[in-house]
Amino acid sequence: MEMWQLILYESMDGVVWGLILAMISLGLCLIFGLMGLMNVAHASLYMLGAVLAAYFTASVGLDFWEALVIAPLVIAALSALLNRLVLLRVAGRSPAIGLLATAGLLLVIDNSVLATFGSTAVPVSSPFDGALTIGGIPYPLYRLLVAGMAIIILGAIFCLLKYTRYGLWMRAVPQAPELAAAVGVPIRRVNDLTVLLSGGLAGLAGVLVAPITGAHFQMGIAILASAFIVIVLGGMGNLLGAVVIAILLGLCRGIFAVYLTPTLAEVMSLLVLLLVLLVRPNGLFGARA
Amino acid sequence: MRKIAGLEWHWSSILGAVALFLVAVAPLVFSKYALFLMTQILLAAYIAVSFDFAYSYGRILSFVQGAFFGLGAYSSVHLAAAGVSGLITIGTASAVLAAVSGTAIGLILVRMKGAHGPPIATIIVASIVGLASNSLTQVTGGEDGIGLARADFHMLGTVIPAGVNVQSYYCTAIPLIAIVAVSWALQPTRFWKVLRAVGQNERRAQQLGFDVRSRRLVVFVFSAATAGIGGALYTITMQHVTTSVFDLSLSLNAILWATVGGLSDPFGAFIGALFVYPTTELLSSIFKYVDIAVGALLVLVAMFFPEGIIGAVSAWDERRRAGAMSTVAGSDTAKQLRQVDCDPELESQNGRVSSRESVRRSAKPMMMILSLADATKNVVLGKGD
Repeated sequence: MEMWQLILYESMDGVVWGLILAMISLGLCLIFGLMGLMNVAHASLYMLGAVLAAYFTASVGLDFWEALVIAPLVIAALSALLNRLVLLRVAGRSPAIGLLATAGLLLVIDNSVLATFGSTAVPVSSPFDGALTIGGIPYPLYRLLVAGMAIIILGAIFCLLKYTRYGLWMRAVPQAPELAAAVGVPIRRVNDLTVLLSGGLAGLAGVLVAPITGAHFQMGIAILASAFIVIVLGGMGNLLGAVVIAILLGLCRGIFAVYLTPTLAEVMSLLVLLLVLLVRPNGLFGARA
Repeated sequence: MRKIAGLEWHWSSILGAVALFLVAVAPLVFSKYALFLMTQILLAAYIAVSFDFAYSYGRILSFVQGAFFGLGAYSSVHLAAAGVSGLITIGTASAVLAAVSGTAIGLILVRMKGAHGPPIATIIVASIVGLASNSLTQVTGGEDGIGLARADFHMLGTVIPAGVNVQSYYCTAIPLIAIVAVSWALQPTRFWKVLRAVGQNERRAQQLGFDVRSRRLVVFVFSAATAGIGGALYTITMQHVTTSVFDLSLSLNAILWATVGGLSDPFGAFIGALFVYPTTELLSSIFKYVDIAVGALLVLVAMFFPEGIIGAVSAWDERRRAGAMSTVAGSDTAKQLRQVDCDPELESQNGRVSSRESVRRSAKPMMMILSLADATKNVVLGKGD
C-alpha cells in the first residue's frame, strides 16, 4: 500500500468516525439548547448502545438488524426515564447542579454495565463482509454503510428541525421559552421528543460502531472528550457547527493515525483542537451561552 | 458568630477545628489499619480541598483536579527513581509541575464565556490526560503502574520511611492542615473577601474594579498545586501508582467529598472527605462496584443537598440564632443565603479600590505580593472587620 493510499484509507475511517461523533454530539446539543443542561452521561448512552448490540446478538439471539432497531428504542426509553427522574428536576437550576447530577449518572451507568457485562471488550460481528475498492484499496463495505446511514440520519434530523411543526417548536423553545408557552407550544411534549430523539441517536451510534470497535464499558468515557470539544468548538448549541467540527476532528484523527497508534492519534487530534480552543475559547461558530 | 483572637468562630469552624484536632492526634490512638485509612482520607482531602478552591474562589467547576493529583503522583515516582530523596524537593517539584499545567489549562478556562464552558473544558482535558496516560505506558506503566523505587526519604534531617507510618502520616497531614488553617485564618481579611466576591459574583466584582480574570487564574493554579502536593504524598505513602489516578471517577469522587462537606467553607471539603471516604471504603468491602453508589449519591447530593454538611450546620446555627424564623434549608437558596453577595465593605471602598487596582494591573506580577501583604497586615493588626 502506498503512502497516499494509506492516507486515503485513514481519512475515510476518520470521516466515518466523525459522522458517528456528529450523531452523538447532535443529541447533546439538542438537550443543551432545549434545557440549558450539559448531559455528562450522554456518552454513556452511546456505550450502552454498543453493549446492548453485543448482548442482543450474542446472548439473546437477535440478528444485527433487529438489534439496530431495538437497542436504540430501549435507550430512548431509558433516556426518557432519566429525563423524568433527574434531567427535568435539575434543568433551570444552577448549572453546577445539572453537571454534578449527570456526572453522577455517568458513574451509575458505566459501573452498572461493568457489574453486569464485565470489563472485557466483546466483539460484534459485522452484518456483512465485503469491501469496495476505492483508489486501489479495498475499503470495508460496512463502514461505508455506516457513513451512509449517518448522513441520512443527520439529514433527516435537519429536515425535521427545518420543515416540521415539532422541529419549529424545538427551535423556538430554546430561543424564547415564555413566548413559546404563551402561544401554546406543548413544551412538555417537545421536551419528551427531544430527549427520546437524543437518546435514540446516541444508542444508534453505539450499535453502528459495535461491529467496528466491539463493545466495552469504557467506550463512553473514551469519547467524552471528543463529544464535548465538538460542542464547545461548534459554539455551544450550534447544531451545524457541531457536525462540521465532528467531521473535521475525525479527519484530523485519521491523518494522525497514519503515523501513530490509534489512541495516540486520538490524543493528538484532541490536543490540536485544544490549541484551537486556547486561541478561540468560545468556539469557532459563535457561542449561544 | 463569636470573635476569639480576632477570628470568627461559627459552629462550622468548631466542627472543623475538632476534625483538625482528630487528625493531629490520630497516630497516638489509632491502630495500624486506622492509620492507613486516615492517611488515605487525608490524601482524598487534598483533592477535595483543591476542588473547593477551584470552584468556590476560581469559579471553575473543575473535573480535572484528579489529573493534577495524578501528575504529582507520577512526577514524584519518577523523581524518586532518579535518586531524589528530599521530601521537600519532591513535594515542591510536584506542586510546580501541577501549577504549570494548571496555568496552561487555566488560561483557556478563565477566558471562556458562559457557565458551561469551563467545566466542560475541564472534562475534555481530564479525558485527554486519561487517554494519553494509558497510551504512554513507558512513562506511566499503564494499568499495572509503577512502584516506588526508594524505601526511605529525608526531610529536614529526619528519615521518613516510605509507606504508611507515623512519620509519613504527619508529612501528609501537616501541609494539608496548614493549607486549611491558613485559608481559615485569612477569612476575615480583605484579600479573602475579594476572592469570595470573585467566586460568588464575578460581574459585580469586575464592576467594582477588581481584576477578576487573573485572580481566578491564580486561584486555579494554586488549587492545581494543592492537588499536586497531595499526589506526591500519595506516592510516598502508597508506594505504588497506576493510571487509575487519571480516571475521571477520582475527580468525581473528590467533588462528592467536597460537596457533601460543604463548598466555600475552609473546612467543608476536608470534613466531607472525613465523612464520605470511610463510608465508601466500607461499602467497597461489601460491594465491589461501589462507584454505582458514589454516582447515585452524587446525583442525590446535587439534587437535594447541595449545601452540604457545613451548610446544614450553618443553616441550623442561623436558625437557632434567629429563633423560629423561617428557613430555607434544603434548597439552592440555602447556599445563596450563606453567600454575602458582595461584601458591603468592598462596595464602600469602591473608589479607592479601583484606583489601587489599576495600579496593580500595570504591574501584574506584583498583584499577588501586594494582596498577600495586605492580608498579612490585616491578620497581624487584627482588623479583619
